[in-house]
Amino acid sequence: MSSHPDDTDREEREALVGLEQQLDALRERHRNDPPLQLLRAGRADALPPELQEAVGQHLAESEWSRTLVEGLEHDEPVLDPQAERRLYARIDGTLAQQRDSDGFKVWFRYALITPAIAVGVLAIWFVVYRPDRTISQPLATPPPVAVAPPVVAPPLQLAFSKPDVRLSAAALTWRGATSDNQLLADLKPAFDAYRQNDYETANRLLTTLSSRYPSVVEVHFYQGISRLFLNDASTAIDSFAAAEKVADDTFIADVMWYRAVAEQRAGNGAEARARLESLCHGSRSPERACAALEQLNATLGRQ
Amino acid sequence: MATFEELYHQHVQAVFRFALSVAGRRELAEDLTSEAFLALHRNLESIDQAQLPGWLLTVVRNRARDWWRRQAVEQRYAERLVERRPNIAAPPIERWILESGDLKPIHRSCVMLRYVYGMTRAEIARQTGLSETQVKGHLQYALTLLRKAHGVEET
Repeated sequence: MSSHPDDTDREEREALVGLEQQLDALRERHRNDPPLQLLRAGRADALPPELQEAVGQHLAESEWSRTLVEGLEHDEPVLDPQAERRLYARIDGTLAQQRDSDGFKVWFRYALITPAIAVGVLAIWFVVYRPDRTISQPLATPPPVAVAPPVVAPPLQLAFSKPDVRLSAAALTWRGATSDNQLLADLKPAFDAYRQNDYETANRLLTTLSSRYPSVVEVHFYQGISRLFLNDASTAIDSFAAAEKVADDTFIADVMWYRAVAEQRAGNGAEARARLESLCHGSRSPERACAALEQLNATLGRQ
Repeated sequence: MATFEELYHQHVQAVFRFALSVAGRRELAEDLTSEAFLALHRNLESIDQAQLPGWLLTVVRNRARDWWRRQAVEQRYAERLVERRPNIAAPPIERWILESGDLKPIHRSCVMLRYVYGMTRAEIARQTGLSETQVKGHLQYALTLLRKAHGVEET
């Protein structure tokens, strides 16, 4: 503790004349008091336990130290508007950095997961189609490459193409009562029929499965597609509505797109438009939906 | 439900004042305040906003404890605390500082920091969060009373 701060002025020195001895005694008396910073933190119970106990005890015993820290508690603004804005900018900058970092982590996770899923799909394909598999019926020859069926849309119908069979991560990792993936085994006949453009059979088998696997998006989705090919747009809507409820990120855009097609074909223009607008403005691959929306608007414009 | 920015402007003065009291330095107080609001942002959806600013002050308090734990000086201070206090009788000026009815708490603290702990006005301003002008005003007021109380003639 120094006797005179560096910025002591003449007025202060004169005022303190005759009090030096008392002030020296005060300084000596409080020489071993805890530093101010510790006292203030202790007053706020913001110290680690052992230190808090010691400082708390000192504060309880020393009226001087208590008075010192209590006097520093006031309600005056401690941040001027400029400092308040600067601190907010700092916090906002940190949040922006965290968002960028999170975005990279998501991208990086997808970069890692996507090959893993691809390997998983290949593994399942190998298990399902491996040459030495003992099955009651010979496996069908590789299905013909899916070609967009001759769905030449009439003037007021949106065209659509046949989506290949693909599986969500949930289906690939599905586990039932046994250790085998019974879901994939149950789906296989329906998917075989679907691949071979036998939509009647696919629809029948998937309808059976829809009650057993109500939360499996693939069941409802490919049932809806099959019904679209059977020109039954209204029941296709039911399938896609069920699919929308359980679709994950990898399926939801496709479900919305095909439901929009079904709605449009069923004459529900507003329902179709709402989904197309959502896809056109909010999905990662908006081209198909934007083009359809444009086509729909042009058709309506001619009417 | 208030937005994050609205909550910031609503509570930042109280949070910073508390942070300054536990940290004693503006830079550290800004760090603690910043960490508290970042924690609020992370928990904005789940937190009951009626718990503010108490929730924010708790974050500051916990962060301050962590900070003190990291300080190498901690053990040294703890050891010093158990030293015997010097056996020196309190001079009359101590009672006057503690008991004068004309002094407000902030006056007492400014006098202590200035004339016993030897701080400059700028250092007191940093500790209190006041401006140097405000500190100077408090000291002048207290000094005038001190001179009267101890029979020093006004010059």
